[in-house]
Amino acid sequence: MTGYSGPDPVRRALQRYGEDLVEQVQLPPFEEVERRRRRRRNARGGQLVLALAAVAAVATALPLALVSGASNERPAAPPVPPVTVTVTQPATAGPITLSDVSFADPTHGVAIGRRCDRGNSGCPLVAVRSADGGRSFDAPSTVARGDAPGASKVAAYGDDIVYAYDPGLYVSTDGGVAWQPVTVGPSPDSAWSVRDVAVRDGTVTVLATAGERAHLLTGVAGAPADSLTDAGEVPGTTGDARMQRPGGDVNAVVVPSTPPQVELGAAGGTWQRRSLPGACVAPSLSTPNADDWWLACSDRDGGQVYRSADGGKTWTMTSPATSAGDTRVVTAVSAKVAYLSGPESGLQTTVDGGLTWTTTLRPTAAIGEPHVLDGNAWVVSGDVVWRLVGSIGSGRWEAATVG
Amino acid sequence: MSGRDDAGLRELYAASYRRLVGQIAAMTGDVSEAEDLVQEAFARAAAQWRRLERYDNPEAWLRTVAMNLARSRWRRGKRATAVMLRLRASHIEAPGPSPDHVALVTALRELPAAQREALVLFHIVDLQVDEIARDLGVPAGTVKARLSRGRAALAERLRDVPDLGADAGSPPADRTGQRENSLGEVRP
Repeated sequence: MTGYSGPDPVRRALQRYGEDLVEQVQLPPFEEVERRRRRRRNARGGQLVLALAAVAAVATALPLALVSGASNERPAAPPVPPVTVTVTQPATAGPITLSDVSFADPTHGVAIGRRCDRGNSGCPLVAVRSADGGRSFDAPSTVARGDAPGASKVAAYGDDIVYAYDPGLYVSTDGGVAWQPVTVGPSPDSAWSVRDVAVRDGTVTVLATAGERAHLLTGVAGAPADSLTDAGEVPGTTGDARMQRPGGDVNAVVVPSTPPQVELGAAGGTWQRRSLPGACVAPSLSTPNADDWWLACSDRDGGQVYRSADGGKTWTMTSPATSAGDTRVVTAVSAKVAYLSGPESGLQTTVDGGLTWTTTLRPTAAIGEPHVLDGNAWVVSGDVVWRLVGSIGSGRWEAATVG
Repeated sequence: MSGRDDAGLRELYAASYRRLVGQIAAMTGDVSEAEDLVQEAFARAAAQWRRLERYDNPEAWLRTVAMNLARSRWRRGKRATAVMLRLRASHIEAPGPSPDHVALVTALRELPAAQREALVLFHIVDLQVDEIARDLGVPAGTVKARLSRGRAALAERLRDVPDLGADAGSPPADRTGQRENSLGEVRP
């Protein structure tokens, strides 16, 4: 076969086939999409109720079985009482849906989320504090009222400084009790939208987007409003730029272009662009040290995880494709140890550099991104903060319910 | 999501829903299944539209999600039996009444999924080889090989169909300015 030598009937037939298929399709009303979206959301809530019902059923049946087993004579089976699960909620305050957690040290941390109050008061952003490593949490404090969309995040630093963003920016200087909004200077073309916050060495660095540009804003950690200054645009970025996780090192800004790019540099300084592997719309980069980089690339064939041992110069694929439609975030601890979290797929762990992954936590509610610090780890799901007890490879997760 | 917020998504839905369903149906061999997959992709897009609306080509994102969902369903085997029965059924819900059309649909459904995906993305979705390679996460050479083998396999299956058999295996220019032989090797 030497090449194309005339009209290709198969090609024409394929094109006609595609056109015929399109002609067959009727356009359903857009409300079908909304209905399906609501079903997905309700299904997640329903899973929680079913889990509660299962726990209640076991709790009811187990004592009966034990009583029955202790007797030599097998008594007639007693009638099993019907199990009724009633989910009670406070009269005015709804449950908290947590979205992130951050610990400044192994003892003091803050989790953040929204509590949709009954009535018409919206879903204010609230924070809960722990002073015992995540075993228990105080009553929630209100960060901001209103009903702003978007997932809220939190970054704790030092003894009392906590930043929350949603994508507005708020700061607390008393460990998360009182909050005030942080305003920044005028943006180049539209309102600032805070994407990520990192606090290090007494300086807060904020990655914020304005339109299709991403800028770094810097200031003294914990300083009052109007204290952040625009350190300039990160070149080559878009409105989807994200800092690398866990955010302690702000020298890497990831841009979900095709292929994904990472901009390496410093606020106000020079930047160097480097391509990342994969073809994804939501890259997540984690760099626990200068050499060991991890990348989760989602939404292409379900997603892949890559690892580099030379600071992103060369990459190897570490895992098979994961489930489609679930955006994964990688949070690496070292060259061997990393977490992979997805709202729908739970939390997976590897301790062998990605050769094998184990699902270590799969709560019914959507799971957040883990926060790791000095061998400790926390992650939120629904109204629960999960705390790793023991080592990452063999430890277990314990729950602390907030609100 | 308020009506004002989702205006862009509604516009995209009206413009691309039928096209996406047609493309996914060509891969899955089932229009109803494709409608379900594309609806699901739009529902997921609705949940994160504020992010997606900034993309240059949200339709490509929707197509990728729908394709991934189709693969995922196959892998899980939830509908594998039904799909396999459909694919192997002698009676086919052909999109057109022409016997040639029925033969083409049957032949397409008998191809390996990877080859069928490549043919559909190239000839029906009208993507470039490089775009297909990026979407599927494989080298461009692999896409060319799949296209070449897929066309050859189609030609073999359609050899006896009057209007489709002749010269059916000759590969057209692949829109990268290169040609390929039957083994997927690129020739200038």
